[in-house]
Amino acid sequence: MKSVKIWAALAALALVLPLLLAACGGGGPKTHSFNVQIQGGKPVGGSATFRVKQGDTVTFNISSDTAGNAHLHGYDLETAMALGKTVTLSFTANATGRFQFEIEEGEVEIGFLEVQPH
Amino acid sequence: MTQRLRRSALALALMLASAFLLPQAAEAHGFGQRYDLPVPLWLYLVGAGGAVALSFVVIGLFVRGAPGLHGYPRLNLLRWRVGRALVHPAVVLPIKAASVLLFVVVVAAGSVGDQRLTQNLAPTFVWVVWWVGLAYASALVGNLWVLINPWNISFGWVETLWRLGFERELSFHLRYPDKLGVWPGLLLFLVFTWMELVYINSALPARIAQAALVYSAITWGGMLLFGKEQWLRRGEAFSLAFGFLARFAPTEIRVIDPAVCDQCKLECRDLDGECIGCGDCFRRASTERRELNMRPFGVGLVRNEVVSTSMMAFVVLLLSTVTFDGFTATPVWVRIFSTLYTVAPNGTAVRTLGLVALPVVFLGVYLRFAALMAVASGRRLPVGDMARAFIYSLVPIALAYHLAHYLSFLLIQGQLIIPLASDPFGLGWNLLGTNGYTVNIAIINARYAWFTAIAAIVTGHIIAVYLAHVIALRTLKERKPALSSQYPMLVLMVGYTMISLWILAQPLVETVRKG
Repeated sequence: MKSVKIWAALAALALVLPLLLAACGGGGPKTHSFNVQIQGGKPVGGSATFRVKQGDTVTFNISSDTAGNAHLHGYDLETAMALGKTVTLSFTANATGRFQFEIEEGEVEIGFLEVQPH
Repeated sequence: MTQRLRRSALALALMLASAFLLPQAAEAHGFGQRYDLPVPLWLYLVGAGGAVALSFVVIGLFVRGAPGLHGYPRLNLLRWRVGRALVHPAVVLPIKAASVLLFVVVVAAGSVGDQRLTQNLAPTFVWVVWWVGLAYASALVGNLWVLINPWNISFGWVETLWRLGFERELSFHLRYPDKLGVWPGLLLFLVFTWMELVYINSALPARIAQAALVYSAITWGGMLLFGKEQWLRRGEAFSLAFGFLARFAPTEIRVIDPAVCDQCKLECRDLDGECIGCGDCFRRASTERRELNMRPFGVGLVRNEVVSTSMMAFVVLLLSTVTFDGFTATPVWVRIFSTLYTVAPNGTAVRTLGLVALPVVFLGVYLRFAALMAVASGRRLPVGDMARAFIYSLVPIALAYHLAHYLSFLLIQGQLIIPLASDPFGLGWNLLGTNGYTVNIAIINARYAWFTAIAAIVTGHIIAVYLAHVIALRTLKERKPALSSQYPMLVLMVGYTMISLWILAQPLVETVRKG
């Protein structure tokens, strides 16, 4: 009988703890603007991590000296980069996670967008 | 037949060869992208601290002379009409037929369907729904594979027809050499995990279909030679793998008729004379002698039975491959990989080396600790016996890591099955009207995923510590040596759990860009 109680307590803990702790958090949404510069098909300064919070507005300003497509995985957003022009990719980061951002041609990594939960 | 076998062998050889010859971008896991955020440091520390602190609570319980596990509570679902309906042929037969049909559809889709990963049923079904999803179900619900194994079902049907038509056995029922143990199954499982974790084209639909056909030939061949049940127990890699996981599950099938189990050539009965989890005995037993029981989680891992060396090796392999999948997505592995790559510039070879080396390291460490346990308990058991007796107690730790590691992956990548169910071949069909579905990446919040992961890992750890104590009390008989044996075991378990937590706290490195 004792062992049944232990099992029941463990099961309850496993179910309730995540819900309980997931409920906390706070803070209002912010706006982020990241400048990305592509030279010779590669990001200047190498692969970067862009950190934002869930619900924030994110804008990538991408300038490139080569043509190609910038692709943000997960959110599945894509923009065509034009020679010598700055293009923008703007969205609300509503899903948490760590998402790869890359140049489709040659799969060159621009970096990762990390959307942290509140 | 020989020609087909030769062709299959050729296909397998080509598959292996192409893996070494075609350098391509490789994904960390068999299929699909992962968007997991690493668990934050404070939570990692809370999990680690919790696991250690609760371990001492469990030890305290045993020191104070609390629970041994003399039997466990069972609740027979067949006592109710709903439970009986679950095992009624009118329910079971359509499920089996559907499973075989699904198998055929997956192989057909892989062979002739659109070869883009997201346009073909095979990759998502095999790697996400079946392999990851069924592992979850096996551990948390029960051994469903016994019911839905398409190789088992199809061979059984042909066997029945053969008996009706020719009035003799289809299978040769050769004597299975005992020495072989479950080594054939282990070998096949190693090849499967190689395909999952190393092989570059593992998600290519055509490769999946070919591999399934080769594996079918091997499985049906084994059944033909040694009998269906014998092969399921010794050579069918997935019956073994899902079976090990399902020992943790809260359900069991049980036969309470000694006569039925004595007929069974498979030695289904354990040392307590219990016949649990044997699909063959269950099928042959009369209705009133069968039980479909609810039971506490994990008790299936501490049955009083003989564990062979090959079974121990299989469990070690299972544990290490679960860890390997996570480990290969950490920056540490990328550094090891890069170093080895400068020596041997072949990504597949380096990953293969890692896949094979890790179980060997696992086994070495485990045997070292088994030796310490033998010393600590006053050498009442030889090291080998000690190692075999305790191996199942490590399963909950691996299982917890598996659940934690794949939760987001299963919930996000698993959604692909919704549009694919309408259009399995990528021909633009819309059978169920779900073809337009797009994956919702916000389905699981990172915070919820973290806490579930940590809760699963701490819970798995505690259950493992508890089960190891129960095994110690049973095998070492007396309380004092039993307790002493558990200090080395506890160190091992804490270490293993820390590795799981550490991997979860690492940023995932999605792609290793070298073929």
